[in-house]
Amino acid sequence: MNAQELILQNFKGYVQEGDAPYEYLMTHFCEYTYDSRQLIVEGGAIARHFYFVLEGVQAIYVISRTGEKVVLGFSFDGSVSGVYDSFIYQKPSAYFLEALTPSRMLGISIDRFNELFERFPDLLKWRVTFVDAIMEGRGRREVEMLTLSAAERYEAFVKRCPPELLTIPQKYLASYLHMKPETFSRLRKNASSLFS
Amino acid sequence: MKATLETLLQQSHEYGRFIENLKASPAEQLSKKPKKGWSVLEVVEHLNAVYAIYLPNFEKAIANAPTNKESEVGANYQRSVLGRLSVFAMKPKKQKRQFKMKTFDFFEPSGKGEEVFDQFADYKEKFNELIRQARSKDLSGIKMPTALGEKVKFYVPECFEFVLAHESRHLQQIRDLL
Repeated sequence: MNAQELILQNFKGYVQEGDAPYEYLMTHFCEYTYDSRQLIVEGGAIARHFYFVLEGVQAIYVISRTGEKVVLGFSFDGSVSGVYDSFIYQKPSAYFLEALTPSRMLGISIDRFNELFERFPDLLKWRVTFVDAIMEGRGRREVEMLTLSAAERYEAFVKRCPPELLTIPQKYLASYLHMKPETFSRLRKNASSLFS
Repeated sequence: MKATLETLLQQSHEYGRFIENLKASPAEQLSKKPKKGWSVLEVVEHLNAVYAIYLPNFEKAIANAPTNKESEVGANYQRSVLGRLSVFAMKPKKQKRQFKMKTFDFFEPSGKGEEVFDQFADYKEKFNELIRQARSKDLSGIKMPTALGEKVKFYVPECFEFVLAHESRHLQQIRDLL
C-alpha cells in the first residue's frame, strides 16, 4: 500500500483526491520506518504521532508487576496506530508501542492533527466515527475477556484477526488473549485446519 | 515490581522529566544550601558526575556485545549478589533514603550555574539511547565496571537499574529540599 491509497482508504467518504483536506493530509503525514523490536512509543515518554500503518505489525502493551508484557492490542497494514491518550493530551505514555515486524508508518504531529480539524471541521465527523469504532471494539473485547473461556476467546479472535497477525511470535497473541503461550499453542494445534 | 529494560527506560523518562521540571523553579531555591549537604543544583551536578563515569562503561560493554534481535532481556536478567544488594540499598523506601552514605571524593560537586541542567539532559538522552541499544543485544554474561571499586562489576541490565536506583535516591533528596 502507498501513502496515497492509505489516506484515501482511511478517509473514504470524507476526502477526495485533489481537494484541500486531501492535500493537507498528504503534506502533513510523513513516513517513518521502524525496525522489528524497536519501540515506537516508550512508556514514560510522550507519543509524538498519530499513525496509519503502511506495512508491518505493532503491539501496544504494558508491563506487569512481574515484568511480563501484557498486550492490549495490535495495529497492522492499513490500520491506525499510536498511543492515543498520550498523543491527544501530550502526557507521558502509560503504554509501550513496539514494532513486531519491520514497519513503515505515516505519522502526523499533534499540532498538525489539531490544525486539521480547525481548518476542515467536516473531518470531525471522521474523528467521531473513528472513536466510535474504537469504543465498540474495546467493549466487545472486554466482554470476551470477562465471559469467554480460553478456547472461545481463541476462536473469536481467529474469526476476526487479519492474516498479518498470524506471522508474529505466538507469545504476543497469547498475551493479548490472556492465556499462557502453551495454551495458545495447544488451541492453535487443535484448530490447525484453520491455518492450512 | 520486577524491572525489565522497558520499565527501566520508563523510569528513566520519569526521572528525566522530574529534573527538567526543576528548571522552572526560582534560581535561589535551586542554589540554596541546606544546613548540611547539597543544594538542588549540586545534586543534579552529582548525577552528571555519575553519568560521566558510567556512560562510557555502558557504551563499551554494549558495543562489544553481540547483536541479537531475537533475544529479549526480560525480568529475569542475570544479577550478581552484590548488584542485587546495591540496588536494594540504593532504592528509597517509603520516601526515605535508607542507609545514608557519604559520596566518594571524586563525586563532590562544585556547584555551578544552569548549564548543569543542559548537561543532565544530554547525559539522560545518551543513557536512554544505551538502554534502547541494549534491547537488541545479547548481554548474557557481560559485566561492566562500576564506580564502587575496581573489583565490583555488575551485569549490564542490573547496572542500569543501579544507576536509576541511585538517581531516585537523589530525586528524593531534592523533594526533601523543596
